Amino acid sequence: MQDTPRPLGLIRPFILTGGRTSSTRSGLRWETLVETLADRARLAKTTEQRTVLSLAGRPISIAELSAYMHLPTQVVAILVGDLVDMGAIRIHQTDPVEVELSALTRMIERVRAL
Amino acid sequence: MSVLSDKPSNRHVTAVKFVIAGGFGVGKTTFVGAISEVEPLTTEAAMTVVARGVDDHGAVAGTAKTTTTVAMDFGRLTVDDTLVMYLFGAPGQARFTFMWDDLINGALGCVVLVDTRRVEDCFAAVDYFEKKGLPFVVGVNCFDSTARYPLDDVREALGLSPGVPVFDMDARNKASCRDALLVLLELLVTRLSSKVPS
Repeated sequence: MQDTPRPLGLIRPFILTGGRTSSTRSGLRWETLVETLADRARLAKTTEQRTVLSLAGRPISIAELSAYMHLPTQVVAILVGDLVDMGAIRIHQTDPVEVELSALTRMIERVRAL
Repeated sequence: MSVLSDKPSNRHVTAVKFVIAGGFGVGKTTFVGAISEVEPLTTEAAMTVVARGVDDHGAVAGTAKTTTTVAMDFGRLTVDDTLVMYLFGAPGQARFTFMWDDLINGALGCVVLVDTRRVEDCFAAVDYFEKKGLPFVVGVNCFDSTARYPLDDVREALGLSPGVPVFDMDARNKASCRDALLVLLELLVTRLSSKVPS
């Protein structure tokens, strides 16, 4: 855990996004899951897009992509937004108010089993 | 890496977020690691910060806009094929308020870890969660060298509402972290149940 904000490194990650600092999908959250659509991995145009599509073969969160790719969450969200626009990836996002009692019960059972 | 089933499908997978907040060194990462099925990962959130014009020493400084990153450790617990829990460890001190909107966006609830030697480290977080209506519980982390404070004193020091659970815990102990998360989950069940019309 690093509790002190620090300046970004020498390589500015937003170069990867063409200088954009916000995603076409502004609703993406850190825990939002994304999943590569079947047979769409070939749509990738850049190394970073290829990496995202390869990691998202199974549902994976924006935060996990950020951790594995060593890129800030915002940069990942922009890459993902582009891939959604290209029809290469889909988003699993759940509004927290839609989380039902049955889901909480399953979570409690899972945590109790730890 | 994901442990969900191999084939892409039309199945919708729900991811839920929980926040473990507290001051430096209070045991957030240990907590995340106790629950996570993988070694805690580190993500970086980049943000543009407008300096408030006053530095840490109270001196007036110039107004500046800078981009900084804040590293956060997080973990994952797969419940089943359609449900995944994420836990994010997050700094609770006032100087991190600029990132809390992103932090709690979509979060179901928060465990605030209190170090009784530095109770003030979580004042800002508690105020913020209360204002935003985010359900939270307060775990008073007991270190060997610290005197135990009566929980009522901690409750009073933090100005907590009566409905906020406060309990002693030890973040180094996996069972204790599990129990703290269960207190939060039970609180969410209570809240949800009370919303259902009878």
